[in-house]
Amino acid sequence: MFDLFLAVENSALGIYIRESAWGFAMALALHAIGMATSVGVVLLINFRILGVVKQVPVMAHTALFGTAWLGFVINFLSGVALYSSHASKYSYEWIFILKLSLLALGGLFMKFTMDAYRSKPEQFKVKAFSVICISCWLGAVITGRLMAYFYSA
Amino acid sequence: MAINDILDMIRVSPIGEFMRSGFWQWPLMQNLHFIGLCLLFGPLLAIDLRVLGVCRFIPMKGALSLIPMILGAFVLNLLTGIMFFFGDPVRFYYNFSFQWKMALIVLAGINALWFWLGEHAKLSSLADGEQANFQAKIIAGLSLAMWLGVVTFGRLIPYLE
Repeated sequence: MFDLFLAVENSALGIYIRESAWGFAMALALHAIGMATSVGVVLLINFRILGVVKQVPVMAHTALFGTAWLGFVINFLSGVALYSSHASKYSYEWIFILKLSLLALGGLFMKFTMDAYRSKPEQFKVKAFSVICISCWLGAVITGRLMAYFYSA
Repeated sequence: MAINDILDMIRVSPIGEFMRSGFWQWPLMQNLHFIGLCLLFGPLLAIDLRVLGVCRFIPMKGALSLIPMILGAFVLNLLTGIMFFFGDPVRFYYNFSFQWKMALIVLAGINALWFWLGEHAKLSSLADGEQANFQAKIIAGLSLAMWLGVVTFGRLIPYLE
């Protein structure tokens, strides 16, 4: 596995992001924009489901899912770029692995929440899933931001 | 009093000392600042994309009532932002990226005021699926562009000094 991570790190993309003047900074800026877009929509919809904000019907909010996916794609691509720059190190950082796990869980629980809402909006499961979903996404933001502090380069 | 004296007073203030007094202050404020950004962006996208016609079937009146959530998130980020500034005022004050970020926030504020005074009342009665007027769309487009600029310059602060 380590050889594979090294190969990623020494790919053209990995070298560019790591060694060019603006590669890493630009990927980070895109990653912040994608985060604001995707997590912004996810939090808003979950706040609506939990009743924190009530003005817009839940199903009307789903019009924003396309935009959330766009933010997710921006973050997938910029995330791959950032990862490739230090693949052999990030791959072994517990905080990075935790972040990816929280992202996967957050995505799954967004789907579980919406599926449960569509089948029966008032059932308890909806809000329980929604709380888990919010926690996972906030956790992903926090562990992502903390990578700069726990990254033992 | 010269600007550097003021910056130094800010630096040695209790808040400034607090921000530099331990490991966790900075990352804690950064995390709150990022969460505040996400909280601000959700309702901002809902309103601006509705006005632009991308998400035409979000009820306009309901979307506009999300404005307090935007203001709340902005206050959170203003407060955490002030904490950063007090922690390292000289660095931020002379930082090119920080200066642009602040300028864009002021412009976005003026733009939001223009929206509130000029369009808010008209838009409240917009039917679901109905297109907003051209001027409202210009404001919404500017709003999105400016806030994306704020995020970009904010994230580039450590790289543009």
